[in-house]
Amino acid sequence: MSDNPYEPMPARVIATSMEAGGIRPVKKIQVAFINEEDKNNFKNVPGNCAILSMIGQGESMISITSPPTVKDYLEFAIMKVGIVTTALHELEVGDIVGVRGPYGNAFPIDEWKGKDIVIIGAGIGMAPIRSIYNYILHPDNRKDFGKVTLMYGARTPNDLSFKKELFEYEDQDDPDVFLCIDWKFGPDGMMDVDAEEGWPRINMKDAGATVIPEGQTRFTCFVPQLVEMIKPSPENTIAITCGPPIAIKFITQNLSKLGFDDEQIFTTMENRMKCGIGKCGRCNIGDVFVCVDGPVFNYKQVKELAPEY
Amino acid sequence: MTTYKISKDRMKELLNSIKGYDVYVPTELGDKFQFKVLKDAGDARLDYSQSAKPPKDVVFPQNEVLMDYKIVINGFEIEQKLDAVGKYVIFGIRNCDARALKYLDTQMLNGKFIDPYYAKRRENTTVVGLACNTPLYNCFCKSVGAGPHHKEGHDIHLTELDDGYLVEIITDKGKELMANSMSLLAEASEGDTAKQADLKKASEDKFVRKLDIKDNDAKMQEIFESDYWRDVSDGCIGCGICTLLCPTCFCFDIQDIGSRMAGQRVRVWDSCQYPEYTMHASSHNPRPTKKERQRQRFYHKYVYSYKNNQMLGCVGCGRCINQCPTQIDIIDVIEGVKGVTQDE
Repeated sequence: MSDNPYEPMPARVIATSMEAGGIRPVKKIQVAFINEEDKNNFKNVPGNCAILSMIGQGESMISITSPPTVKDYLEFAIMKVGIVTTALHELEVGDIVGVRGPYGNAFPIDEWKGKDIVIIGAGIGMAPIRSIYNYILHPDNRKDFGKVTLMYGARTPNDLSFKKELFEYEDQDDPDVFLCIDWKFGPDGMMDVDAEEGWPRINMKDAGATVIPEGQTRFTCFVPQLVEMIKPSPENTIAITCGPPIAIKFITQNLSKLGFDDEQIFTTMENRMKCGIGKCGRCNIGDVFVCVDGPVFNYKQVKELAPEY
Repeated sequence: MTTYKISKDRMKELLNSIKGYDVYVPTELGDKFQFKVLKDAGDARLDYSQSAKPPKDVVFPQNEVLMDYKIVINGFEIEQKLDAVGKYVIFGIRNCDARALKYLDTQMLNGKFIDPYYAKRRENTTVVGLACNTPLYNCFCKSVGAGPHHKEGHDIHLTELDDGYLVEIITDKGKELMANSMSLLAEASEGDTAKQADLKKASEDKFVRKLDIKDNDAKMQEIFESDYWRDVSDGCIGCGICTLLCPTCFCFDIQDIGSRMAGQRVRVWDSCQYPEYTMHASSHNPRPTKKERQRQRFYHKYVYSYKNNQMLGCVGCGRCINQCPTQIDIIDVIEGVKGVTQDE
């Protein structure tokens, strides 16, 4: 690794898979460093990001979705939205990509040992927190944590990222998985179309009163309503959430209503970033640079931030 | 520390005697002044008032090549451009712009990471300050913790007298620069240093505009969401000149210029006044209107910088006031904070 933090390290793509379709598809890529030295120096923890460099196109800050228990490669889930991410989507196995990092702070996972964990993702927001459940569910670490609940929603079943592993978890006893989609809802809460088969609609106005049929894990609603309906217990529990800013806002509101303290709720604030090392200025929320002081904040810290995110 | 003196004629000899450096001096540019690499000592205008652009770009160029890239079979090749950095002198910089360099140090050289490009340029730059005897109408360095004769960030400090310049060599870098030119200097008399004190007093008395920033910090934190910020940014057309001419603004973008096969990765100045600056890929924008963007400028300079680095992000040079096409005036805006009530 060079002393120059701007210099990307070469890594080879070793596997790719499409995670979600639609107009903003999500592609998962696994990359392995070419130089052994880079691999050994790159020590990521859940919550970290890295900057992927498509030489000649530009750079993008992307969350690392693989947990530190995976040593041989880094995994990223990339939504195709701009120039760099479109170029990243064109990568095939064997191609070379530049990587620099890891950047940002970490989820304080060691402090969560012995507690129940609730993970709530919306849209591409599942990517930055996937490393947490992968870490916790790893056989070496599973015994250190209590019950694990995953809640995740996207627009359509096709837009759900990581659905292969999530659908597998649905069939298992551990962890508890609840999924939702929202595309069959109109502005007034109901559209005059049939609900997606296997995804029953719930009453959005009073989601908390819904009686969940035994074994039902899929619903048509928004993620905040899913939280309201599942009612995770705040006792000895940590909730981690990420998604679009509007989803984070209502998810945290609903968690507070359920009795979660601000310090029990964690989120990652992914702002636009460029340098990743706290120099270029754009990711600030008030006096905080998200790329070095974040992206992980608990809700108490979020409330202290300037209301500008 | 000995104070030396040099006559005005000999100053030209001094400028010509500096070898091995790119010497940036104020030169004439139309009705304005601009720092340029010295070619002929006759071009230097040490009697200038203020340069249109601060000499910040010596240590932090507007366009700086970070690396050359080339796509090759099985990967890419990167050639760092750190070695391209030469040795520089900024000759005749005003106290405001020199202080701004100190401020840039707090941003670029502090924290978990150090910016290697800035660090190298800064290390290779010798700062020769020139005391300011002619503050302009919109200058207010005295109100933000400095003054026209301050020496903060100077390696050598010059003061213009009627018949020459006083020379104070402050740091080792300054000594190194003057090593071959000491024969041009004479020791200053007591009368000269007394004259310097008079000039300082006279210059400080020339300030027209003042800004009182006592308790400003707490008040600004209270009124973050006030409509006051919408009102002050009402005229803004988002041109970004306030940030591009600011000696302390450091925001930048990184772009790849060239083809997909070969080219350069370049760092270019950016501005918080542009909507694209903060816009997410999803098109969500944390600072969607000029209200938030102008507010960011004032808060970064007067609240965040002070909290993070115990130094204001404004050195009082007045360029953003002079050049704003819609007369947004940072002195009026910060003074106006006092009159804002919470529910306004």
